[in-house]
Amino acid sequence: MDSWNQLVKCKTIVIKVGSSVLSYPNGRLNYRRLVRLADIISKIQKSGRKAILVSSGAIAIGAGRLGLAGKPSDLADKQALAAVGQAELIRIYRKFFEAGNQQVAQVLFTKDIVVNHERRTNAKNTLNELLAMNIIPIINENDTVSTDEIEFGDNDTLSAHVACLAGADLLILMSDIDGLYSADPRLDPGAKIIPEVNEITDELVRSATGTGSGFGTGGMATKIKASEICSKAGIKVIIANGSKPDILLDILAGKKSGTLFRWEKVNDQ
Amino acid sequence: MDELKIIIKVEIETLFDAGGTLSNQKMEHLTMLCANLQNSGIKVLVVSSGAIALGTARLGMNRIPSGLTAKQAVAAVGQAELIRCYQECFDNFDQTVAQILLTKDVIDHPVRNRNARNTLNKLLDRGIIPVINENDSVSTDDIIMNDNYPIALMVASLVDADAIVINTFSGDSFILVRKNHSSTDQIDIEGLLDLTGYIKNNIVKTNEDIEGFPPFLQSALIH
Repeated sequence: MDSWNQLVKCKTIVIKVGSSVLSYPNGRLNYRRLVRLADIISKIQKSGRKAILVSSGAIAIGAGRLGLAGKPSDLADKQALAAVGQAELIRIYRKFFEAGNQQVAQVLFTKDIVVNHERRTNAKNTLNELLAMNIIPIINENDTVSTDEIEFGDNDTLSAHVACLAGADLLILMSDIDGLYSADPRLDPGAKIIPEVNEITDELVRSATGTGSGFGTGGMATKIKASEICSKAGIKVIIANGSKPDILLDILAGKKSGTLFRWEKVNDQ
Repeated sequence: MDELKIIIKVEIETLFDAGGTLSNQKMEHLTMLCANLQNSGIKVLVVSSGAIALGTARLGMNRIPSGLTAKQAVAAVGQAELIRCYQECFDNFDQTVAQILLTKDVIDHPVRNRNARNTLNKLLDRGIIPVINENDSVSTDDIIMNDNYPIALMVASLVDADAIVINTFSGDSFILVRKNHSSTDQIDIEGLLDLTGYIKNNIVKTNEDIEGFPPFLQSALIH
């Protein structure tokens, strides 16, 4: 059985979708894709697996709701938009998941779930209980009380910690590129997708992150960091293109899609 | 006199109908009053309970689960429902809301305190009504106490609010808790809708006893 085929056995799956997956380049929501995403994730849940969704998008939606063009640069403005947009984001998810008769819950975390024992225990209990109740948790950072000094900073990192908390088997990072490339595909026509990774080497980090800030909105650096967090818990990580949510079904059918970080749980070996 | 900042503290159970479900009519009435206050120039913040009750209903359960962890899970479902209800009702009055989930350590944590304060003030500046609750997924204080007075008081301190208005079961009378006043006033809808005038003119206090309020609220009222 190759590494991809083993993915059919994954029971608890964390799916992280970035803003680039959920919205058009102008920042407005791609409703059609959201409908599809909700449909596919509902199907995964109905197949007996447990899905957890980590979703960005609150600030973009907040800006849309208030009729602002682009994201504001002021921190308090961003936090205010996030508070408006998160309410809207969860309302939209709830509506789209309702079509598949699937209950969802909203869970907002801060970095306390990593550093504070009580918060960590509560977060873990809430997640486990929701999974046991067949409810899909939809998770985001609690932007209202988080800033640079104390936040996860990006949902790649948040999703890795969520995967660890929930004891997940697989984390799927969905973004606007097909996977981890051997070089920046915008600059190097010879750049190829790296299908499998079993060790994060300095060379890998250099080639993936290049000299710039990385590709996509989150960038590759945060995805590699997320993978590193998961490696310690033996949680497999996939970087895949989220523009076609059906790719989630391909992955869980064992079909090669994107880049797989083949971490193993100790008891798997 | 600067613009008043008022916290409307809502016990969602006061908005249920006889059958034990959230009454659209009562919800609409309350949000109308809030939107009206906001239109009159007062900055309104809503501190609302209800996530567990609404989550229980949403999941088709007969009663609120007894376990703490189960309550947290139900609250995560119900909070989404709660904020949707508020937004849909406030939409009728062309009023945008924002969801703020806080934990009690925010008040003592300098960075979180500053962030929460900045976010709340920014929302108020933009004419948005924050709808605030405890973040039950990571905190159980509120669930155990079964009350959100502490959150209401914390928000009052964060934004330096002038008063907390508590909705009561009767629907047309409210309890007014004013900053630096040791007594509470009972006000009717007219009093509520003319809150600025009421607070400005009503120098004579009713001197109603604050017995019956939780001790921590009493002590907060006195200083």
